[in-house]
Amino acid sequence: MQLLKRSCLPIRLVLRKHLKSETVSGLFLLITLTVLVIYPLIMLVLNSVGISVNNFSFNLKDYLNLFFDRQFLGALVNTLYLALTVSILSSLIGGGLAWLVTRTDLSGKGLIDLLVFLTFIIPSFIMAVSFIELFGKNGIITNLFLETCKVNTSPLEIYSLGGVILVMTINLYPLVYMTLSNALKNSDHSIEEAAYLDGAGRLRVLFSITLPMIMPNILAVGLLVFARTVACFGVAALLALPARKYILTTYIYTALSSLNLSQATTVSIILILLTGAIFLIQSKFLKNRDYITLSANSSRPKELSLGRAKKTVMGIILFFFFLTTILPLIVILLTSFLKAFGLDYQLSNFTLANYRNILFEQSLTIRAFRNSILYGILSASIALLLGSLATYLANRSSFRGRKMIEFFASWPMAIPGIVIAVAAILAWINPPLKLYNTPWIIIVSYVTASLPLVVKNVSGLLQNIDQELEEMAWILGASYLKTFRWIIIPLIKPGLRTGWILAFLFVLREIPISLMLYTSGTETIGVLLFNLRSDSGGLETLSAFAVILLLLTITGHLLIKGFRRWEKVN
Amino acid sequence: MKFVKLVFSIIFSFILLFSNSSLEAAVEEQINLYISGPKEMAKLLEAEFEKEYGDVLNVYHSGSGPLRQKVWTEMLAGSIQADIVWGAEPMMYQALKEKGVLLRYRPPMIQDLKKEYIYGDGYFTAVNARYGVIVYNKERVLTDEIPTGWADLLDRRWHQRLGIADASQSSTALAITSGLYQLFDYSWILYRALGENEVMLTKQNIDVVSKIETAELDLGIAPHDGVLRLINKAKKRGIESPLGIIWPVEGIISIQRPIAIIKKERSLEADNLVKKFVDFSLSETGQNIATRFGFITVRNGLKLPEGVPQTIEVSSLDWKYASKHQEEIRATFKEIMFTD
Repeated sequence: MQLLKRSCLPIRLVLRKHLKSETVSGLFLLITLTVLVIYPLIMLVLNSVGISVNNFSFNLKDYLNLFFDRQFLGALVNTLYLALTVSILSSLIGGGLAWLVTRTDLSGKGLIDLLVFLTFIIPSFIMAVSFIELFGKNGIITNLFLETCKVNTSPLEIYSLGGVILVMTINLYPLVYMTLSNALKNSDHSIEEAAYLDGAGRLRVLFSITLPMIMPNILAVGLLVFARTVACFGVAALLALPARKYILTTYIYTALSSLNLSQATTVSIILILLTGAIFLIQSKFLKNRDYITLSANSSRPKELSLGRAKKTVMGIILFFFFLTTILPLIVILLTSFLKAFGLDYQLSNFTLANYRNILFEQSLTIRAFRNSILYGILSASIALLLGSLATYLANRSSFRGRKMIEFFASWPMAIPGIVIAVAAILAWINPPLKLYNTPWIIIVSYVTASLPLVVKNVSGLLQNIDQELEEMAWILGASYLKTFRWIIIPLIKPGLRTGWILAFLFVLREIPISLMLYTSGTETIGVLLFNLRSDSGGLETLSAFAVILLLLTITGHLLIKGFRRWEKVN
Repeated sequence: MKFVKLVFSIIFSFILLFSNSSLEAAVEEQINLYISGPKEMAKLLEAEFEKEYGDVLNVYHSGSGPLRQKVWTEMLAGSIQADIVWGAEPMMYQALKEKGVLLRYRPPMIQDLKKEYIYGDGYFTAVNARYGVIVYNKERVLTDEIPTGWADLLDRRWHQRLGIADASQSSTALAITSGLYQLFDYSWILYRALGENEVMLTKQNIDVVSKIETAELDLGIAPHDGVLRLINKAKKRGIESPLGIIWPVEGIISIQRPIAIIKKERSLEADNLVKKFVDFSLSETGQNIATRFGFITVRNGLKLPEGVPQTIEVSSLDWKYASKHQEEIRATFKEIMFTD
């Protein structure tokens, strides 16, 4: 507001006009976000203390009971153990790879980037299915191992917490890799080079310079992995529940299945407190990361020579990718053509029947794809509109509730999908706000879950735009919304695009929200993924569905890349 | 701005394309049917009923656990959205009856039903039955170790080889658990042995059968109908299924799938349709469709599904006891199975 504050009377009138528009937009957003985000959470809290439509007996007995509930305590311990292990393993793998790629003369870096990206886009549930096909009791690797080693025990018990750790680590280390390789590329490598000149060894430089320099990033991404693992549902339901192990999300799911709504809401609150705390700590780290020294020169860092170990290291990395990405993809593709899982992988046992069944005989599959795409487009677009406006108001207005708006739009980041679903049931089942049993309850929940993705991608860009640009537009007579439309949107376009795509991809991959909220006609990809094996009775049909989903996701990413290239050229 | 324009044009084309199907809520005149069981059966029943009455059914299909959960959550949240609920097991209906949310209706063909299936005091009626049995993989279980009855499952040789559906997720599994608890003289001896044998838990009963078929498990406990369906499915694909059924000597656990009408405000026309559908489910046509999917008919004089013996030892269960103690049974099941 510097320009306007220093200005004369007519310009002050302009300012007053804009303040009015600001207040109207601010109030609109505040009300919308309160209804979308806060109202369901209030319903959740009220229900957990015994207050609902039919019941007004305030009590904390469900919270107190949890202290004596062995299964809940077990679920809590399992959740923390799982999240901690996955965070450490992902950081080691992702961080190690990032260091090798950015700081050494390792060959095939482009290939590593590509393989990490491929791993990143495989939905975790599909990864879990392929690991069942590999390491299950009748899995390919299990059978190979038993035949070769002439033993009776499997090399890996995939139905276990260990199985969940394996799948979630593979699913989340790419996130660490991408974050840390960016941090390493942007950090000042001249300090490390100076240390090498002074005669410091590789390990000493790594532990005393490189790691401390990117430590805030490691902690921030580590906590993000931690929170994502705490919120994981599909993989835990597929691999840990059969082994009689709860984590908090599956505990909520079975509490609902056991008709214990109050227990489900109580544990939901505990889960929000846990993930909320993680995000608070994470945001502290993100704030403090300013002390990373940003490289002033754009030269590439001097790469450490791996010497004779170069080929061995590359061999290990490629073997790792073969086991964790290539082999799971091959096995899921081959199984999708089998007449039945368990038969030998030979030509006479192959068929196209699974694809025919999914694409032409089951109307449900087409409906699920259509619904997910439609809900994804709608929710991503609504989230884009609300999220970008909220970020704009939060950063650029003098509206009194602006901090609250930002908080409301970012807070769903800390709410696991299953909790959003439980809260949505309570909030949207009764008139006048009845969305239950309609597609809108799913869309509204998707909007809530996607808002932080937009906010996160837009806020950084917005902070870098000089405010005087908008003020000039106002002075020249542009209205508040026109300024937003013609000045701000073009400048934050990259953030909007990434936010929209991420929100859309989130919908294609998510399971718990639609699983808890779907009804006849509103089935989604997630619902089908979760239930297809039970409905069709076979891993082969599920694999065929997974292959189609993977093709769709990969095509989507290729289109995005092509689109970006086209945009650059034009 | 081209990107924004592109996004918005995609949105609007999608909305135009799908606004008549994907985003519209259920049509007012339609009646909501919540049903569990095989999806194909639900589709066939819907098609057959709508042949006569037009597009009047809005069908929600799921496993027995999610069905019960949906009904219960809706009841606790204020109103059950279904007009008719069909599937799961009698305990849920007994509980709904006690909550006063069921409409009393006596279908005219009640006199054609076998005596043991007439209960519910007009608030709910058994439509099909399924038999809880032992299922095994013929290639994984040696001929001389094939169990003959439930008591054989206590043996340690089944360590890490057995599977059952999770009674806290599947309501049919809860009914089987309740049945076996009663069969073992109201004791948990079988389930404690299953726990010690590190039994695998699945979310639905059909998953037990499917995992046995793919040799992820060697044997397990499940209703017979899913086994018959998977054997037929394999036959259609030209494969011989390795699945086998053991009809336990102590008696099978008979679980009925009832139907009930939810008490709520409806137009006269809708009310009439709801009752017509209940009649249809008990009619010869409705019963024969269910028999094709392996279910046991509740009517006199109709055929049993292929693969079910004509004479069979059925252990009688006290459903009232099961319903009254279902919380306790579920809690003990969880305590035994989820040790940490």
